[in-house]
Amino acid sequence: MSVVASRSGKSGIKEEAAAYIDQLYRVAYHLTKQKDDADDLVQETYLRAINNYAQFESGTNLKAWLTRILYNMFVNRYHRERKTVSFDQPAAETDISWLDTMASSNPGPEAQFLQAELKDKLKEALDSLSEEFATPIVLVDIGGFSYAEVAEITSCPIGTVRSRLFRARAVLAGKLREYVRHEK
Amino acid sequence: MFGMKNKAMSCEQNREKISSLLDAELSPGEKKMLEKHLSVCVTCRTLEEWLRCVKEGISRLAGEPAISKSAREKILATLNQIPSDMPLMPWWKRLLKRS
Repeated sequence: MSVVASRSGKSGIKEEAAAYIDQLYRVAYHLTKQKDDADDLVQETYLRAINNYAQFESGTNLKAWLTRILYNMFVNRYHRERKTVSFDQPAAETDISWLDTMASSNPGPEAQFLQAELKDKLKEALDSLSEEFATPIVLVDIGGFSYAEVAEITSCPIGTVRSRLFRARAVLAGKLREYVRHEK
Repeated sequence: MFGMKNKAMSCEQNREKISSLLDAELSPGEKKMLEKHLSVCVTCRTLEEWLRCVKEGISRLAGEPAISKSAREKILATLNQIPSDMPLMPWWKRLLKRS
């Protein structure tokens, strides 16, 4: 989803910026995992945006611009406090070896997935991901951004976004698959 | 044996693209090739189903929770502080930024 800022003047931009509060909050919440931290992060994002308002180019993507400010503040503020896992580390968290052993006769997970319990499991699994894994999923599936926008927001090459998103989904699918198999 | 190795390599190459397919981020040519592969590969179709479930499940998480009332009010008050005569980036600065 790409939303281009209104060219109809500052009052239009104010209204458009206000319309993104909820979307920015959801991204902030799934990055920080804390409601209070997300509240603070979104408030400070808007404050910083206004302080840097003169740098905003009319006609560009306001939602992506605000989200880039939010993400940079998140990285600067919360990154040091959180455990991060490099993609080079052979940690269990990054293990997607189940893909190599996936039996072609596996039944589809859709029916089980619709159960409310799995929603909680998925949230739990998302929260357990390291920042590198979680960020592209949050921005694409919760923020509604394209790969190009995520690349711009996170200052990563688009190929890295694509690869991390796949690996993150594969890790989450592996965790859910284990849960479903365990419950059977 | 040769055929099996080729199929395995093909699956390996297509895995990442399955994720991109779900986000409509493939070129028409890539999409066509992947769909052709999915039509004959049960393993990759199973992976597609798992990845689709993850994507849809995460999307469902987007509806919760909501920002606090006090935070929303503070943000709206902050937005109202933007002076109507505050200039956006001038043309010469935009030009310098792009060069």
